[in-house]
Amino acid sequence: MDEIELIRACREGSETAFEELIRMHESKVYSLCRRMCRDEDNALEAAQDTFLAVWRGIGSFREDSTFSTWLYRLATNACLDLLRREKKHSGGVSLDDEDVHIDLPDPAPQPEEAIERSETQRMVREALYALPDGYREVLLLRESEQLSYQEIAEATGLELGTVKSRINRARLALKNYLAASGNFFEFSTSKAAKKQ
Amino acid sequence: MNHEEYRDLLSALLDGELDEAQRASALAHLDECEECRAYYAELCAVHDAIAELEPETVPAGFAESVMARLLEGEKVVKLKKRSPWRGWTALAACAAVVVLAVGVTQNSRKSANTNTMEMAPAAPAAGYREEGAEEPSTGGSMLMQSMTMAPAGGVNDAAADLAEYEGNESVVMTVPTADANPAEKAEGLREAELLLYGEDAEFWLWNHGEYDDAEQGYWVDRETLSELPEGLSLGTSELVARWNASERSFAFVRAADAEAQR
Repeated sequence: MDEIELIRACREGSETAFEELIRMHESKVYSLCRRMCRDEDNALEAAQDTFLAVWRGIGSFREDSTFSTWLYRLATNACLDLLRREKKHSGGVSLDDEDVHIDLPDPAPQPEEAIERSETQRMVREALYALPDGYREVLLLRESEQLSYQEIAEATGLELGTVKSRINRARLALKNYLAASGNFFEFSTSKAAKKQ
Repeated sequence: MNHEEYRDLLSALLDGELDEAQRASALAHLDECEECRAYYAELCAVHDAIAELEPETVPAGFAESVMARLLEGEKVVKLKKRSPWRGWTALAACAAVVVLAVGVTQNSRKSANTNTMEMAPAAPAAGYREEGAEEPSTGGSMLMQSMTMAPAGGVNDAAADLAEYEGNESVVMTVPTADANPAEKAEGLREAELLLYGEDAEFWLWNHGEYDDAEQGYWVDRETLSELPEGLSLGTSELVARWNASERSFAFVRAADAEAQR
């Protein structure tokens, strides 16, 4: 069945169709939740919450809307709700907090390039987690999920102008974070842009 | 257009979100302005850094785990307490003076700790890149050092323009200045921010919401907000329309009379 048929079947209560719909979209939902939430368990819970919200709300989903945009809206809501609850319970996490968990590099011998790449990945993820939730949200929808500004506006309920400025500020914040941590970017001459 | 105005434009240029006229203007400016060329190169670097993150792998059995939660029934979801403070509501309602004397249960937060950072030294950009253009080879490397997070001494324009934030904690956004009139302040509120009108608005929020002392307002869930008592209302502004259209389950709310005094 295609997506529309699956959605219709879900509306009629088909759990089989719903499970297939999950498999069709689990990758993008989990990816977004994983990059929104520092904690892997939280990411899993938010991703599950997203699909449960789909099941609960599928009756009101309009077929002339874009399902993936709606799905992203539910996913970002699930992440933001969970992150808010976590902050309330934990008192928040500061970059200066001694208890902040930082993954240590694998002690097994690795090629230098692999170590550097692993460190790079970790630093960029930490920088993303350090962003305010609302900034991380729009940046990930743009960079990771490749949504247009209009789609991001629809998914988040933000004004288009707000989406544009938040993405810009999020990129700037990320750049400043990575620069302030002592790491900086080196540009390869092979990364020369193409002026059109 | 000044540099600040160009910055949003340059980010949109990278994303291919400009119309032809804006794109031409942005490219023409890049031709003339070294500072903006360096800024654009930094935006590209951030874009590349995220693009190069390894894809996330969905845990095995994920779909089954969702189905298991579904088949356990709604009771599992309802048992989750979204707001642990709800238990205080009845106590507060019948002994307000006593509860006020005892103190308000609030989210404990650290004091604001603003990290201000200087922009990294600009790296010369060899040219410009846009989404959809031929992708250059990713031969760049990042020089990694141990992670130290030391606030820089100064605040450049870009960092000052950015919302302050306490690491991963909630953001304190730029809000209109104190001399703005209440209508302008309302317009300056963020999405899902609402004003509650009525004589006992602040007290109702204190009873039913979760106070956020960093942002000096209350988080209230949608269900609770839909059951306002007589005498309280959210008004009929564009903010409410936007909230109704959104699917966020929590709204950030301030009492209108308290907001007017800010």
